[in-house]
Amino acid sequence: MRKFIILIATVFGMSIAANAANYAMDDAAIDALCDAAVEAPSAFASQAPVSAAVSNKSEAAVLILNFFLGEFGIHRHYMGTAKWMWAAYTFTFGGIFGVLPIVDFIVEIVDLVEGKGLSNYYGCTKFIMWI
Amino acid sequence: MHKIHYVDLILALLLSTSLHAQRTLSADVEVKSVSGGSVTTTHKQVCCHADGRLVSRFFNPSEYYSIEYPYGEGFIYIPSSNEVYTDRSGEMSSADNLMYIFLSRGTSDMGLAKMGYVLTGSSTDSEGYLKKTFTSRNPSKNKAPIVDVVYKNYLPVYLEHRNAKNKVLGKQYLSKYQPLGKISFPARSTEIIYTSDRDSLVIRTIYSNIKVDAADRLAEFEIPSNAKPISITPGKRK
Repeated sequence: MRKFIILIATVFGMSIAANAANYAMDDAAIDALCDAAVEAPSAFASQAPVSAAVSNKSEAAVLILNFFLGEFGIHRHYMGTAKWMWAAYTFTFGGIFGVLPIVDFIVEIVDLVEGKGLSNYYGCTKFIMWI
Repeated sequence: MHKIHYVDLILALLLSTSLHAQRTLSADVEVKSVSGGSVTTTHKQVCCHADGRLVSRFFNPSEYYSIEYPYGEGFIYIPSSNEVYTDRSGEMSSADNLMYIFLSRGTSDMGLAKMGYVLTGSSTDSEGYLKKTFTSRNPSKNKAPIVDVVYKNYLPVYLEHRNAKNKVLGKQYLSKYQPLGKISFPARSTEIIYTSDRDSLVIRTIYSNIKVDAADRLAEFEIPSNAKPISITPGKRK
């Protein structure tokens, strides 16, 4: 259920209408948006608890590879997966138009914060590893 | 006597030119990504050389570095484990990085020409905004076929990425320009990436402590020669 909510929140998240004829962004509105959003426990944020949660170098590498090269599924190969996984991510336009790597990233962080680790995803050959 | 003066003058000019050439741009960067009502924050130190070598230092989950080059090669180095990952897929490239584009005086096309785009149109509106339209010669999934760059007072303020059907894929607003010697640099960038017809990802990037040619240890950072390569073998767990 938790993962389902994460998926829904990511895919059907907020939407901002910006007028293309107006070439200036309302910075105050964007700041308010950032302030109103709930801070996700990002491994790339500066908060200490998350840093402490990521104690394993392999888990850190997974997050880093997911962050930079997620759309090619490189993080999946680092954890061990099917040989075709890179192609599945690449040929679905970066994992279903780039959404899948983002959800992978959020799920990995949530599992690390909850102390579950990422071992459940090691060797996983399913396209969507967290279902 | 006159010859000596001329030599002195030429040497002085050469020295002056080399001293004033802006070789590095460094900054502290905060990136906030908002999607689905959640925000993630990234803090990093970044230093960009005029030749395109872009070094970033992250602090979490552990300290790590990334080095990117404009020709599409990148490295991720994790000091705690002395591991290095090398990427030559082209995904890690500094070619489209704002710091590199501004430092290399690439704002006239925002580096698009080097990425295979050609100028296919331009217009100026009544408010003085100049819009240039660039079209990719080699469309691929990673590149929007059409990019508009809008300038105000010769500074890029807005970029719009569109697909072949003119559907907007993403927008980028550049603001809060700061004069830095011979260049100006936007201290704030707001990107909106449309993930579907109704939803989007908003990325706000704020640059602070921006310095030109500052003595920065990050500029000299090198990955140790004894770093262990991170191996990624399809089908096998590391």
